[in-house]
Amino acid sequence: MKKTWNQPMLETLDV
Amino acid sequence: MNQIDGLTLSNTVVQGQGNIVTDMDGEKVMLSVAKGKYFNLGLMGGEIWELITTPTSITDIVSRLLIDYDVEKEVCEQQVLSFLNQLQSEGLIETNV
Repeated sequence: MKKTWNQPMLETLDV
Repeated sequence: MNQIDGLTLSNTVVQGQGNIVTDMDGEKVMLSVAKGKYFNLGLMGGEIWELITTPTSITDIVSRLLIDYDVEKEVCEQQVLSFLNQLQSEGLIETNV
């Protein structure tokens, strides 16, 4: 059973 | 050739140096010491990050992901390339090492 794919995204965190 | 921005499938990439990485609720969060910026790679991004601890061609990355994930090859290639270009633009990876 293959896993569900989600688009990889790079999120910049405002810290 | 599948190409977005700069990287192509034949490029080799590896994790950049000088980043502090940790897991938070299953997602990979990173501090770029050089830039003083925090990034969230998310679940999928974290998986890709773990695949490039050593220099790895993008073709190999896609092949590994296709084994584990239910995704069309073309979609996987485009989205992985796009993600890696984001990492490259932030100086988080090294290419063709």
